[in-house]
Amino acid sequence: MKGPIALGMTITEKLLARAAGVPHARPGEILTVDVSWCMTNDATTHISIDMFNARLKERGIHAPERTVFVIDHNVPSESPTTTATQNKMRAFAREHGIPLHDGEGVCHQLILEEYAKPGDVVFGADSHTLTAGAVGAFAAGVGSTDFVAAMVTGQTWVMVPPTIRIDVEGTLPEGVFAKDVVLHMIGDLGADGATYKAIEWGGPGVQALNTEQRATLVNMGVEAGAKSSVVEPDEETLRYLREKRGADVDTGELLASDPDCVYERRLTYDLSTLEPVVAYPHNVDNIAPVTAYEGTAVTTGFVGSCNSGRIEDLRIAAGVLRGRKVLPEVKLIVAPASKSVYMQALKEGLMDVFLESGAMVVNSNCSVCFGNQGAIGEGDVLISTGTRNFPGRSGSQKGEIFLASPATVAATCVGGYITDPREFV
Amino acid sequence: MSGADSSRVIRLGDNIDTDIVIPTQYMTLPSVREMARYAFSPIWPDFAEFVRPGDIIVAGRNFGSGSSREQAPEIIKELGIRCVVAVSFSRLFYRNALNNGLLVIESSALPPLVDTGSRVAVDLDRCVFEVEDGQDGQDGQEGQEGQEGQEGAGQEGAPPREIPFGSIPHELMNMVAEGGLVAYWSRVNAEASGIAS
Repeated sequence: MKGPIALGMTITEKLLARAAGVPHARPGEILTVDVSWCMTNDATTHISIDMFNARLKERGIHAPERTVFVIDHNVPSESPTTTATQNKMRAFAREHGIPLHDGEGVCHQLILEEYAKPGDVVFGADSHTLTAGAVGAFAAGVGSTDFVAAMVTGQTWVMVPPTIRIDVEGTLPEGVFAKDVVLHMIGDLGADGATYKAIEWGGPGVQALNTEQRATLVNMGVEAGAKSSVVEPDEETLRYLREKRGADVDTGELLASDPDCVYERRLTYDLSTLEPVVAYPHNVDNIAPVTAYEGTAVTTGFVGSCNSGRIEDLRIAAGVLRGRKVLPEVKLIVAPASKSVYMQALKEGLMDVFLESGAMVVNSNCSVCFGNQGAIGEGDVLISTGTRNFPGRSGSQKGEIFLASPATVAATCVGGYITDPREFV
Repeated sequence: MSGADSSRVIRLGDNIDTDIVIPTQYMTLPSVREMARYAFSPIWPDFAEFVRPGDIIVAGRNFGSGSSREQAPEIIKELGIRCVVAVSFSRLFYRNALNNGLLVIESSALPPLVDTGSRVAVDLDRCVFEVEDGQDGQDGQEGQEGQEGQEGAGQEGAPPREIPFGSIPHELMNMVAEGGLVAYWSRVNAEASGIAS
């Protein structure tokens, strides 16, 4: 905390003002902010390491203990080339004393479980970094160059974004989940509706959700173009942090938007009126009710990813699959988002449910959502809890991807065609 | 870049995502130069042959959406494109472009006025586009050979239309001019004798 917080700001403006050591932040201002955590993964870290070694070595790393390396995109490695790239990352982390998570889970899930806290500023070399907004941090994705600059200087420049506030009321009906809510939102905003902007989720409907569900809402903000996406931290945030990190965890600073702050736009959702939806091929903002595609045959299902691979999601999918079988012609792949999610699922008997149903459980990694496991072929149809449905995202450009909730994915894999999960819950 | 010289426009549409700029299958090629041969190939297979150093890209909404991959702006720069003007950019592409020394300018006014083959001067001092009149896209995809004679022809005396754009902060312009953030930092570091600030 460097200076007093002035009134009339959104939580995002406060987070950035705090990190810049200035009393006020207004949309459009460019601030240089202190970065709490710099995160990067095996998809691009080699580019950053090359830049560092070529031109910035003498400068050193600002705070190795606040830098996090995660190997999660191609785990376990599928080729000698990938292994060589990852070995470079392992050696660099060892040499510089940077924490390395090697196959322990998807980077955004690990940042949520172990690092980010309310009031932090997180920059990660991955577009879904904004996930950490679920615990009241400012979190944004950057490219390899920005990552290197932040790692070396401990700071980065950021334009203060205007905020779109999403007020959520009511409670979710049976068979409708956080994934359906965020897909509704992307459909309403459009693929570029929040470009450069911050999204702020609030209201009683969000306060009633747990941190896992909030992460699902926040994570896909980038699919509407958002820079960051945040939920105001509250008692639930503290509960989550203590559960994951112990009772004496540093819970950071719980900021909230001022009543007289300025939002660029407001949207309101009454959860009780929502229905299960899919994002149909090939854009994330192609949103339609599940019922509009009911009966469409699928060949593959996926439950996992930084969006929907948490314990909450596995419980939802297992709830549908308990006592049922996945159609033999359909391949359902389940990838818990982290080792701790995996172990919790084991304890709760969820893995028994998946294996008995005929689903395939794989290690914690990006998996089908990145296309490194279970790649679909030409003519295949995938229904996935992942983040994107662009052509080629999960294998062949001539396959199709539908995005949906874990319940819709599970129900669909039982019959082999897109199915309204409300029949199963 | 001086504002005096005009550039040939290459006009692209909305939602040019990073998989169009550089399809994933070519990202493992050993250099940006080799990847650049496949730039924009999903929508324009011979783009790399068509483009000439000094051209500018003018596009619609949401240019560069999708991945955080920096190969996308690097390839555009490698092809010699002076700047990309679009109605809007994905923020990741916008930052990556500036950080890699590729100038990007937001404008909703310019794209509707130009086609491939139009000529536009980008005056960074005054923050205006100067659009030369009388171009109707005859240097487009279909007519790409034998066009040398048409550059700037026939319209002498017709005053260019001026389209203003938002100013770019001085520090960012310096960073772009020096080739991007790492180059900029290297120089700043060298000048500061390696002392952390």
